[in-house]
Amino acid sequence: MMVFRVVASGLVLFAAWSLARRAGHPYRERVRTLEQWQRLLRHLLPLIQWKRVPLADALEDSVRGQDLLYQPMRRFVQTLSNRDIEFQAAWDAMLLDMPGLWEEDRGVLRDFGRALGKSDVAFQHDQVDAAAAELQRLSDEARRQRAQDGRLVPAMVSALGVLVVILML
Amino acid sequence: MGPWQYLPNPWRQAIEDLPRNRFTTLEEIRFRVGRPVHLYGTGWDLPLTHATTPAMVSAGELERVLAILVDHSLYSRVEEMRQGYITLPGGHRVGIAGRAVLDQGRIETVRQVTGLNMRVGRPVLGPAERLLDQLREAHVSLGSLLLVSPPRAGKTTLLRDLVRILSDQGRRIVVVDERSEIAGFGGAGVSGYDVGYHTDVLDGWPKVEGIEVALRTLGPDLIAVDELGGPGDLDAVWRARYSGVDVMATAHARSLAEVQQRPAYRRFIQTGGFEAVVALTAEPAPGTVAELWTARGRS
Repeated sequence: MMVFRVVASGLVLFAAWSLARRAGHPYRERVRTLEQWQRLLRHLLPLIQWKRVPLADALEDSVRGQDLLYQPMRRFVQTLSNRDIEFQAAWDAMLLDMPGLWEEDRGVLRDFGRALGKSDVAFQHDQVDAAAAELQRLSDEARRQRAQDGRLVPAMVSALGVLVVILML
Repeated sequence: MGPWQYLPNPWRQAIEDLPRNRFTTLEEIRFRVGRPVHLYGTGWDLPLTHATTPAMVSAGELERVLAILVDHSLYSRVEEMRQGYITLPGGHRVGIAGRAVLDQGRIETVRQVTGLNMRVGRPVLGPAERLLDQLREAHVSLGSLLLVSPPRAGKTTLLRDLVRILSDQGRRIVVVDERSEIAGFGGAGVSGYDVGYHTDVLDGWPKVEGIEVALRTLGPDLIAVDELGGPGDLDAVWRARYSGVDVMATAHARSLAEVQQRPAYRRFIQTGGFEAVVALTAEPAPGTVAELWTARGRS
């Protein structure tokens, strides 16, 4: 009987640990995704401003080496080669394809997509700057949330697991 | 690849579904806000009617078409738009009608686009052979040449064919292709048209700067430029001639007499800037030689 309880406790602790990790995952993922978007904008600006590279190529270049953005962005760029697809619909679908983003992040990036590629260089510069500032704000907020809720929730889940184990034993 | 390939549906499909005789002679596709798309061909014109196309073009639809034509990258085509057009791969020019945005008297861009005029560029091989025969008959050494005509009379087509023939004969030619219409820039540095084996293309270069660069760095026997007319164009051609390089160029004019009425051109021709001036007409077919002036006289 004791052996059964020890094995069950072990399983409960493992489940609690897994759940705690899972509960903290969206907070960590959001910070990483936003950081990668910020890097993307830093790469994108000179490609637009100095090289005048067409948007599809510029986005593909900017997203290299960024694991969370690479696949959704590649799919988006491939979609753009179909001339019958609406740009904004494809952009929105790409944002939905990035699980690390939260709804308010998507709102900012959706607005950015509405202005992307639709004006001259000076205005594009302003748009990228504005999006970068918004992403910085969201990124700061995401880090704060990771430090608070991102630790609190996993800690509570773990504590719950320990409590269950104590009650079982 | 025709310019309609760059359009979104339903327009692309509607044009591809045209009867064969219309499709092969199509010259222009015109979008105008509040009107149906209108097609112009050799000796015909008609509105585009198809089960899938809307009766009228809306401003939003036109904006969408333009965004697709510039690959959603308006910022990369602003220099062209300042001059009122964009060029599609293959050398098809799309004229843009709309409101000019000025900054200190200089056109910054075009907004509130109200019309697009897609001109179908087609490689036509052979018309230059006839002109070369005529020049040989007139005992004109094939050096510097000016082709003049009103729009759509085949100047650029003839110039492209001359470049191809002379280049394949071994002359080193530089094409200063400001509007990408001569060589038909096809993206990734590839020319859309055959412009000959010994030809280098300066794509998108303004004529004055392009001629300078060609003279300094590319060592041409002959420079080809389209549509002289900007300030400094003739001076740049002069510099090329002083450097011992022949120039083949085109200019808008209805006749030789009209060219001679322009003081700058008259001086240029009188002093031997061009060895021959060819006036073209669109009748019976674009590229038909209407008048030929050489230093020996008119024929």
